[in-house]
Amino acid sequence: MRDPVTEHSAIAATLSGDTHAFAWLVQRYQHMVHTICFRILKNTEEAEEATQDSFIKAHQHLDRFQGTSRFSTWLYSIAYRTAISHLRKRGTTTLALEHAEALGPASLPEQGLDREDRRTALNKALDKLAPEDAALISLFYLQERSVEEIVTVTGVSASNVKVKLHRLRKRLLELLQNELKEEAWTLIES
Amino acid sequence: MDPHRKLTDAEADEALRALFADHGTVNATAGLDARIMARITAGHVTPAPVRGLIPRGAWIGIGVGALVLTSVLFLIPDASSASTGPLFAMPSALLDLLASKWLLMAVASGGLLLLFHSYLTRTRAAQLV
Repeated sequence: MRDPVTEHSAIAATLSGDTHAFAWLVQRYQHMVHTICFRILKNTEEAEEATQDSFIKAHQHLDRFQGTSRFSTWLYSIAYRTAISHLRKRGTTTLALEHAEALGPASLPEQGLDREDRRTALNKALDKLAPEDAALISLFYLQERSVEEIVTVTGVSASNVKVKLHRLRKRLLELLQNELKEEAWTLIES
Repeated sequence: MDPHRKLTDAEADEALRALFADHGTVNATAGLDARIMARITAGHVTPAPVRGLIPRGAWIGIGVGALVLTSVLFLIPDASSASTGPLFAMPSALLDLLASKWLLMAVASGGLLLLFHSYLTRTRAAQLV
C-alpha cells in the first residue's frame, strides 16, 4: 500500500486491516510518545517499553477512537496512562530523584551556552519535577496543547491544570536559573 | 537585558516554548518503530494452540472409566450376599484393592491435579489470544 496521505486515511486503513498504515502513524508520533513516557519514567529503557505498549494498546483499541479529539491527543492520553502504570509497577519514584541528584549541578563552560548545555539544563530541570508534572509541562510547551487537551490527556481537572501550569512555569524557571546561573538569561533571551 | 529583571508571564511562556521546541523532545532510539510494528504483527499471528497434558479423548476415557469403576464399587454386594453373576466374579483381593481408601484418594488426587493443570492451560491460552 502507498503511504497514507492523511492521518484520517491512515486510521481508516488500519481499521480495515492494513498494518502498514499504522506504521505510518508510529513513525509520525513515536518521538512525542517516547518523550511523554520518558518525562514520566525518567529512564530510557522503561520509556521505550512504555512507548511500545502505548502503540500496541492504540492499535488494539483504535476502533474506540471517536474522532472527537485529535488523534494525537487520544494517543498521548494512552501514553500518559501507560507510563503512569509502569511507574506504579516500579513501585517508587525515588529513581527519578536519585537520577536527578546523580546528575549533580550543571558544569557550564565559561564561554556561554551551546545547544547541548541547554538541552542538559532543561533535562536536569525536568528531572527534578514530579513525573506527572514533567509530562504536563511538556505537553503544554512542547506540544502547545490547550488546557482542555491536557485535561483529556491527563484526566486532571481544568482548574487544577491551570494552577499546576502556573506553579510549574515558576518552578521550572527557578530550576533553569539554578542550573544555568546567570547564563539562564542568555538562554531566555535567545 | 538586565539579567536580574523578572520575566513577565508572557515572556516566560515564549522563552519556554522556544526552549522546549529546540530541546524538549527526547528522541526514541533508532529502530523503535520497527520493534513496535514487529510486536503488532506478531499479535496478528494466531498463536499455536496450547496443548494440555492429556488430550480431550483421553479425558473422556478417564471419565468413563472412573464412572464405570465407581458404579462397580457401588454395585458390589457385600460378602454375606455374594452374587454368582459374572460381573462380580472378580477375585476378592482385586475388589479389596479397588475399594481401598488409598486407591480412591490417589485417583481423586490425580483427577484434581489434572483438572488444575487443565485450568492453568486454558488460562494461559486465553492470555495468549
